[in-house]
Amino acid sequence: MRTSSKWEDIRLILHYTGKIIIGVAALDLIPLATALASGEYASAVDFLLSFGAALTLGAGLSAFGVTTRRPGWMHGMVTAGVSWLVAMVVAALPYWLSGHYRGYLDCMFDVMSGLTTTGIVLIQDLDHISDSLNMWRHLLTFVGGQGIIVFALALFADGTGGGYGFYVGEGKDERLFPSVLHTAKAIWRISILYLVIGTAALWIAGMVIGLSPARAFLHGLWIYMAAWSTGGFAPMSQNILYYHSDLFEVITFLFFTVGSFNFALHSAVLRGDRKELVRNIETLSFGTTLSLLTFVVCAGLIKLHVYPDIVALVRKGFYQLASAHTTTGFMTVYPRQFATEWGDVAVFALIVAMLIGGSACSTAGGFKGLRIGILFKAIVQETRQMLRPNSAVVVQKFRYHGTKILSAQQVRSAALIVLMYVVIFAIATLAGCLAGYPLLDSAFESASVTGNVGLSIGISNTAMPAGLKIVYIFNMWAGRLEFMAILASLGFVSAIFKKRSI
Amino acid sequence: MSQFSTRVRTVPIISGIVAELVFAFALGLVGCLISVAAVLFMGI
Repeated sequence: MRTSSKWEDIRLILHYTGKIIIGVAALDLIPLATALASGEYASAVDFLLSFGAALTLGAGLSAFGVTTRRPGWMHGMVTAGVSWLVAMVVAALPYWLSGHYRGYLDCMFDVMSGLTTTGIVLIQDLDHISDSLNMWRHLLTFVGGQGIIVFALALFADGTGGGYGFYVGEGKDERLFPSVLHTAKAIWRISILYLVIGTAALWIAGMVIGLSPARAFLHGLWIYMAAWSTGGFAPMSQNILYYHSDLFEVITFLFFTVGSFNFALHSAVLRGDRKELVRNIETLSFGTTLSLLTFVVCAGLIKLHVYPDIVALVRKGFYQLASAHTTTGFMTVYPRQFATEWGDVAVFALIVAMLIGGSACSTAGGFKGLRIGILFKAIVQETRQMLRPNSAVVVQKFRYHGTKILSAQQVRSAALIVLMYVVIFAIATLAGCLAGYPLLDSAFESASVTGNVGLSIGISNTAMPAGLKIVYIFNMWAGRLEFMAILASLGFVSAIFKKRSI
Repeated sequence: MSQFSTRVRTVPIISGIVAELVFAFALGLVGCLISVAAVLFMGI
């Protein structure tokens, strides 16, 4: 990158952040239309104000930073980190205007929870909020799952140089096509295809259980958005338990599992390469850890006689585990049941599942099955190396969109990301303990926010200390962006103080 | 020759910046007007 002043760098970052905020402003139009269609005129004014304010800020930042320079890799990374924080502040305005929150921090918490597809909420009286506010909540988690930068790239990109930096900064590193712009559009095409199928399936399921066609459609749309993006939001405070429907549970399980798979895998399967589905290291890793942890959860629940029969055991145990492992956060039990009924063994398995998470380049969080698979292959390679003469060269292969040879760089990168996840998980656990919560409860909630899951053991509520809310917001942000954009942003701030350009 | 090539390169860049600025200011103005209208609606 050519040398330039730090001021030029800041302007460039603000310019692209402004464009992303204009994209966030455009999103306000959907709940605005919902409010007008539902006759919720007070909410319509809230969204009108939020739209105007976001548009003004986005346009202001964009105009302020207009420059002839093209963004480089680092500009993209820093913009990714910064824009998520600015989007959090901007998108919180409709929440605050709704009157369902105790303060702006709670609003920002819920926005970050939505955008990062975590799913923990601090909203008050969720069961009686307007349709337009529900639309906003679920829209944030749907767009956040694909990535707000992927959304902005699909809307505004013109083959911008440095686009790959924006894309990777948002925690995605798999190009479906050589061009980032085509990749962003392909991700949205895949999501919209499933949107139609998923909403239709849940709409029918809603009518089968007795909801009116209009309610069934809205609930189906919102639940689909939360399932596909592995977000875990639901329009009712009882989450999926509200529906008391095995049909709903089966459909949501299918969509959140499919949503947790790599977009490149979706692309390969849609192109007809179905073998990739059963050979890919991520799906093998996911299948293996899900099976092992199902066994542990069931053993823990059987030991304590939590459920009266095997059907209830599998229905409750497997659903919560799959929801945890795909980092969705849908629940068919009450939060305090984890602490008071499930016991340490089952809760431990859920914590492990939440930390592992779903696939790379998907809507899921956690440190991802790909990295577990790579680390497992590295252990196998090391073991094979030990059993052979020193001069022998052991080559370890794995299948990940083609056959790959395991490299030291891949192992180091996977190990570092897992290590950073464990560090911020430990910090949030410690913060929970310092706030006075038991260790297991703190670890559970910490794993949930760090892995962008959304299952709660009851810690996350509006009464928890503000410091803990800020720690959880940071973990959701860092966990979703997989640290690179965070480290780049910190490096950028450091460069500013040291008067260097990036 | 060098003057000619400089003009060819510079004009589109400058007009691109002007277009971006005009577009951003127009969006900002629309955003301001909408915000003010919404605040007035809230007052009613």
